[in-house]
Amino acid sequence: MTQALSWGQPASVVHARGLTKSYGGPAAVDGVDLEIWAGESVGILGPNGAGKTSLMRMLSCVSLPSAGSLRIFGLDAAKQSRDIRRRLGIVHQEDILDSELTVAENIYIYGRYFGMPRAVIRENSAELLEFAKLSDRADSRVETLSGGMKRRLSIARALVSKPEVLLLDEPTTGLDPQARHVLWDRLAMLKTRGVTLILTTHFMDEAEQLCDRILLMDRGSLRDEGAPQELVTRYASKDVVEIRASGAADVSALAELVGKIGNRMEQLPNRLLLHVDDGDLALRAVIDLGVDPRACLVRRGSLEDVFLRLSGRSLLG
Amino acid sequence: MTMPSILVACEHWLLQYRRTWRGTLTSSILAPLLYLATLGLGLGASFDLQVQAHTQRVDYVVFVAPGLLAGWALQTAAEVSAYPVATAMRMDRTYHGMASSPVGYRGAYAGHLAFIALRVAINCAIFLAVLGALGIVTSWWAVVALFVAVLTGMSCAAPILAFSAAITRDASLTTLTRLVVTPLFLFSGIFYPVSVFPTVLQWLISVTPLWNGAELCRQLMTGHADLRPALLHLLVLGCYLLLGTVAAERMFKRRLTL
Repeated sequence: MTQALSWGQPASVVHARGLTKSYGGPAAVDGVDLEIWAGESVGILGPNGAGKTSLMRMLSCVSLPSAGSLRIFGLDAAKQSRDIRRRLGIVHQEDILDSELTVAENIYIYGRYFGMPRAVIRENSAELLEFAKLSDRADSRVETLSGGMKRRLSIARALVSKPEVLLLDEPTTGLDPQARHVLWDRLAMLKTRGVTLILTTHFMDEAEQLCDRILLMDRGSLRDEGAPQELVTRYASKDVVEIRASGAADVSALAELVGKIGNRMEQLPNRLLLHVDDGDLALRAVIDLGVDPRACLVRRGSLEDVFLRLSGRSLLG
Repeated sequence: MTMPSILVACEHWLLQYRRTWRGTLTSSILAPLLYLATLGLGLGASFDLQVQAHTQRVDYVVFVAPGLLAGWALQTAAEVSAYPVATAMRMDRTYHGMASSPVGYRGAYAGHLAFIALRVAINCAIFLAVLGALGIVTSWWAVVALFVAVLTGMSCAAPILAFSAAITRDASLTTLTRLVVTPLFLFSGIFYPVSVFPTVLQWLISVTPLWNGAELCRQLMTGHADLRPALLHLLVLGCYLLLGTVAAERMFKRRLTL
């Protein structure tokens, strides 16, 4: 399914240089250089307005770049977009399903968009419905499905043409935790089958679960990239001590008290975060200074800490 | 844009239509019957009306039936190219799904136009069949009038589709119906000759697609079609179709690919 060079090195599926998209004002995507390899699972992370969706729309060959070059599967996105789209599966941020049609009909018609013969689509449908855990709902109208089911159907539909690359724009936004985990299982299954996954998400746990590589985006530019653990090592400390407080004044007082502990301190409206190398040692030091242990929590540094450090908390409102 | 793209986009709408065709077929048969019964057979017969159609005076039902055929094409075109298009653009976002597949934005609008042409053709064919069954149509030129009626419908459908793709709220469609579709239906010479109006108004009416379609249908169905005026009517209809299609292409590109 995926292309590979003869000596075993995966082929580049996305090659972008100076990729830019502007809608008249400041560029939504500003000079992005990007390389994505076959079989990779890449997450694009960034706050709202970072340019993730604009970037995804260009990678989907729906929106033309304003400047720069974009080659997908070695083809020029500006000139051969139709040939590229034929090999992509796209899951939009909102479910684009035909509510008038049944689950099976939605898969069928999407296969027809790709010029697939009717018999082949029908043959693939059973497998896709099974994959999406929707076999028993094949003849149900889409409007009767839950949010999680619709999302799984969107993914199943995007897979009908057996795409080499699957693009997912915030695939689990709006889903309950159970539905999210079911989706993660399905996506992990695709990854083991060699499908290249490119996804945007607001959920750090999702990115950590699914992605081999994270691209951090802010204000249209790529701030950094790397494997989730690499980024954590690079930008966050090993452990974080969180101290809950009752209000801003309390946080300030706490900051005064424990400010010298650890590598870095972050003041939030109702919490104080101490970024430290050894959480247990730091916790002991905090308690020795008279802080109530019940207000303290030690956890591992995470991708969320990286994200917040790079993009800043103000953007998250 | 390729023919397969247009066909598969059209197949989408056909798949949807499979659920509703029975209901629409009933109204397709009933509506012309009601119009004819009220206007042609009721009004015309009650007052023993005769109307001047070109060089001859004809019974009112013979005058009004071709106009109603063209008007029916407009009604059908407006019905299938307004709300369904706005819904596919903003609510269901069906077009977005097509645009991100090999169908593309061009296939999306062209496929929908092809489906609309099919719906208009079916409705107009039923209308003609009803006219034939009632003995109102006897000339084989009516087959050509069917083609003209479909062209009339499409010359209205293409601009309406472009408009419906552009709007950001459904209230605009109500405005379109009130200020464009209904006045067109009432003042395009379907129910009476436009010679009753002042010259300026006649001139305005003569550039509307429905008047051109109704006139040509009437000429064909009464057997008085002259080549040059017929070509002029076709040219006007063709212009509306062309301009509407260009507008639709631009609107779909703007809404789906930016």
